[in-house]
Amino acid sequence: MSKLLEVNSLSLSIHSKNGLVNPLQGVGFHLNKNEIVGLIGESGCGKSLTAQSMLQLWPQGSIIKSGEIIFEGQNIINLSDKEMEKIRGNKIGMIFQDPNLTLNPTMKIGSQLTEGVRLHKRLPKSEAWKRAEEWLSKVGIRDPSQRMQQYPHQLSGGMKQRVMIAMAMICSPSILIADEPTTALDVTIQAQILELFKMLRDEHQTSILLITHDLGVVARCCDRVLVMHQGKIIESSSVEQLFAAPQTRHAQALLSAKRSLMIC
Amino acid sequence: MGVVILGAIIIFMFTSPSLSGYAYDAIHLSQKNEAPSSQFWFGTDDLGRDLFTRVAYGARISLLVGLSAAFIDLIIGLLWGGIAGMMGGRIDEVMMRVADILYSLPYMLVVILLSVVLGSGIISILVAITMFGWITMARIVRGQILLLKEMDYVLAAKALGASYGRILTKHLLPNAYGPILVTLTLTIPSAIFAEAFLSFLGLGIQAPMASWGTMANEGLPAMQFYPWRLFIPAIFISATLLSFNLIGEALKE
Amino acid sequence: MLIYLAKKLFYLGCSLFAIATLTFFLMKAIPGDPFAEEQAMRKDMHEALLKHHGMDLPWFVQYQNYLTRLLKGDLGHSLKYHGKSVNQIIASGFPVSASLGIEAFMIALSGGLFLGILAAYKKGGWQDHLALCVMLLGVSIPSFIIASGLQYLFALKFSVFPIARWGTLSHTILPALSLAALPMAFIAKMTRASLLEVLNTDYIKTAKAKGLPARTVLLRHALPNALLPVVSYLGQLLAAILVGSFVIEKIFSIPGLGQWLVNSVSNRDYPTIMGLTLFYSVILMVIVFLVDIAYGFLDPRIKVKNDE
Repeated sequence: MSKLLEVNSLSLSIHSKNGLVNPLQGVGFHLNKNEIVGLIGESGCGKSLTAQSMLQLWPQGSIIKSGEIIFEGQNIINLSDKEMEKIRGNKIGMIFQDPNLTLNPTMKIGSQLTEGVRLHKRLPKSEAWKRAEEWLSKVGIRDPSQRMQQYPHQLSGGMKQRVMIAMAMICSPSILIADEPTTALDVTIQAQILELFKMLRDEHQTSILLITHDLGVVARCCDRVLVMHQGKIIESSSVEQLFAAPQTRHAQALLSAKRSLMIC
Repeated sequence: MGVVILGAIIIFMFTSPSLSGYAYDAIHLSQKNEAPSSQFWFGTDDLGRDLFTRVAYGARISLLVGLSAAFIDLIIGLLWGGIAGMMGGRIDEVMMRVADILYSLPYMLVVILLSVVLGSGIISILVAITMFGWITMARIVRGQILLLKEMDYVLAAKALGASYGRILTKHLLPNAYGPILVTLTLTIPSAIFAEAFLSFLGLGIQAPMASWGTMANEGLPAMQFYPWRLFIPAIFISATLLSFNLIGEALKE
Repeated sequence: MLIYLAKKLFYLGCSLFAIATLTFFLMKAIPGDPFAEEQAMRKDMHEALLKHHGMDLPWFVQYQNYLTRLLKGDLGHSLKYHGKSVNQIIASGFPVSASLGIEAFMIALSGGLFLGILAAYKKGGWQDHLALCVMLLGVSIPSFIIASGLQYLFALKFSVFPIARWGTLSHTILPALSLAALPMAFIAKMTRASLLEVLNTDYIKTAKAKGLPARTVLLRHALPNALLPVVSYLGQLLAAILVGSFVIEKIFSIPGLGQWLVNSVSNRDYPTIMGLTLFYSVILMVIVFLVDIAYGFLDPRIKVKNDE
């Protein structure tokens, strides 16, 4: 099983109003090819920060105390901005939580979609445009050519998130990091997006790191799951294993809380 | 820091006449246009009047006009914005449309026009400045009320049968005071500026009364030879405006 | 978009009407009539003058005549400078004031944008602090004080620039600078605040996550969004320049429209005051209207309605 991404002992500190805090304390996990890994934990445990660290998108004032992130044979944690720019959007894609806020309101959809692929793959405008339209169809948007000419405010929330996915996937990255991608969406749309992720894994050989606080999401589409608590990964197992026999007390608590809410 | 400057100016304003020992309109013709000296700390103007005292009096007038104008704007703004926000619906629409149209009139031009018509003197300046200066405050008040109207404690009050007036005064306004205070702190310098501007153009306070703007106006033609006559009141105007702006900025945080 | 345009046009109409009416009634409210101050005049001459100027008619008729005259573009005649019509005054003074205003506007816009963008980009650094100081001073120190100060320093004491009057390029520098100070500070403040806000948005995060270089993120994504609110304020800024020009022209003895207005105020030359004020107001309101239209074209959320 070849490891696509390996994170070892990642520790991060941030200067905040209350002094120095350590939101990540020795995070370690790995990502294999063709799998969807869920990263679950309660708010404030450091999951978003972990995701952002993959692409060096830390908040200002962050300091890496220790650790390494191995991707494609090199430690990308200390790469310069210029070198990271080659990876972002190109080899590793990322999407965020609220699609209503993550698209530039004054730029056409088409321009935003093609920007990345024209930069990274040096495609001329016409080819980039075609590729963008193809991806819009792949993520389930009808009339892609029409949508390319529209502005974000003309699309619904679900559509915007699909556009985001297309935008992240257009350069065919090997890894997609999704930070709470369904939290801001309706339940029905949620289900569609999760199916979309599975399609990306199967048909495009993309591995997905899926950050969420919702066990239902994990159950629905993840192969493996990582449980995070207070800056550390405390449990890592397959989805069946977690639901059947959670190891840590924290995971057990999460599951029982979920079970008492579930009707089934 | 703004408070410090303002505080210094206010103290100066109250203590100086007694310190200098001169009346603000006492004329000493033999000592015209003197530079600042140990006898006349800020020098004298072209009628031999002590500038130190006049600046102190100017402080009173300029600040008086500024503060009262701002307060009048506050009252009108509270009423207009409060009613519009509370009533909602058509009344709100109409009231705000009227305010919009009034807002689109160029403020200073209208103020100048009004001053011409109303003549000089403190009352007319106050009327001129406040006639259209309340609109910004009204907008802020209305905005806040619209925001807070939906809060649970307002619904609770309504359910208990409180009247509109009561809700407005006891619940909404006290909770809205933040932005209102900030706006007030920024209305004051604009009122002071308007007064100085008008006086500088010769429309406002007239001699022998002295506001800083009037004094600056009188100092202008003499700038080449007696620059202190222009620059001392000018510095005071700037410092006062600066201090209010600083306070306003700090409050915004 | 069309609705937006129509609404703005309607507002313009109402405002123009309002200012015309306001001016008329204010002038009528002045006690006495313009001729009462002239030295003892024979009663029949007085009446003849009143009749000539149509001032003996009932007020609503005067109001109607006034409106009709306005629509024809006739702004009346000066009382002080006999024979000179207000339109002539405008023709002589406006080009001067306009060029001063435009120069000041250019300085304010370029300086303000530069300062604001620099401050936001280097937030917390010394550039930011310096810029904030400049902005604060620009907003607090009234333009006529800056003007006097500049005049004193650079014209009287150091003779770098001419003291007053108009004519060559160097004549324009000090006045334009003093006029531009306040608007520049304002633009800088707005730009900085707006850019800081934009730089914190999620779509900027997305742009970075796509691997776009920092410069592209700033120029293609951040600035266009940050500058939109600034555009909508341009109309107000023009008002500041316009009004500021009265005082600046007075200090520098520039033969522009502002000086005419100030003088006519001192002379109580009411028709001129009215005419000039009206002229200024109309110009201002039309420019604000045009700026609003331009904004409508720039902001896609207004340009293209949501047709879901």
